[in-house]
Amino acid sequence: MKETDLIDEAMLNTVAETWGPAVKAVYAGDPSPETLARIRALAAQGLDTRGRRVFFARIRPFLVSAAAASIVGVATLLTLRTPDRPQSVHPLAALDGVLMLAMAMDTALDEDLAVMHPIGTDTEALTRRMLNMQGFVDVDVENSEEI
Amino acid sequence: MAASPLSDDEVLLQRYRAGSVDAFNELVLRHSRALFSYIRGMVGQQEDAEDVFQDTWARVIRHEASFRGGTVRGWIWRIAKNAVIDRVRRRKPDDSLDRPIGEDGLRLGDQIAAGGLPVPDQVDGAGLGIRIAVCVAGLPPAQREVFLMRTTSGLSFGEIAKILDVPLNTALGRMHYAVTHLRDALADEWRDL
Repeated sequence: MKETDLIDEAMLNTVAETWGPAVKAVYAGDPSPETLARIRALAAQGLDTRGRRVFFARIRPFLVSAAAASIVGVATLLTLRTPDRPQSVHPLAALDGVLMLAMAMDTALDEDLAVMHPIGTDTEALTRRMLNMQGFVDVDVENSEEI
Repeated sequence: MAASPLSDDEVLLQRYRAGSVDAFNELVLRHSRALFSYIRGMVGQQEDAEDVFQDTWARVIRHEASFRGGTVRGWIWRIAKNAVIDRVRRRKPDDSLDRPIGEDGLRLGDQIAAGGLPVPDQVDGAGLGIRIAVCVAGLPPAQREVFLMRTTSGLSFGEIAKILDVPLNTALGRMHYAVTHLRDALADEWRDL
């Protein structure tokens, strides 16, 4: 530090000490009691906030562990409880089922079978006919079975 | 190396951290007069000074954990300085200095020029205090804050330089300009002092 700085600082200190009382008198004053009371209330509130912050900082590791464990637990539970979903039914097949059910309710059991059987027979006959056209069916065997 | 003993302010701050509101109250009262004088000199009006004073301590409470080393007093004054800057920035720019503030025809500008002195003192107008206040209010903010910190708060130039985060010579220079300005403006009174 230069010597001039020291002189300057000493001189300015002297001025400040000389003028200090007059300037202090100009700005003398205290904050109102209400302001001081509000600050006291803020200090108490600050302590509460700090206490909560410290508490949460202390239990944070446990909270993190608990959160991780609960996530794993929920995921496991969901995995175990997920039911096997059945294959979806084609809308036309479902409609067939509904129609057949309606017919069964509307007719006697024998009639129901009589109605259902021809459907199966027609399909069987159609299949045999297609196989026959392609030469896969032994006509003799067919006839002998029918006999 | 042995740790340096804690200052009274640090002890009070530690006691507050340990849960004593009374300790904090004591800390406030220890500095209330000097801090309030500084703030009042910077913001001018009494109401504003009350607000800034409260805001300063609210910030101290909020950021008490951020105090690490240095002096508690310097730390508090740095917070006050920032609170003053924020208040000045927030002032309504369209608030007219010609706005009447009393029944005696006084204007807001008169009160600000007198550093927020009470209206009756303003009416008398001739006292040294009023002249000082008007001159100090006319200083550029950077010079005014150094002058007020040194005279009203009794901070050393080293502390002021740390609070303002400027080199010591800058703080001294600002004080020098402030004193020069006041010496010119208060030539008669200067000789008497």
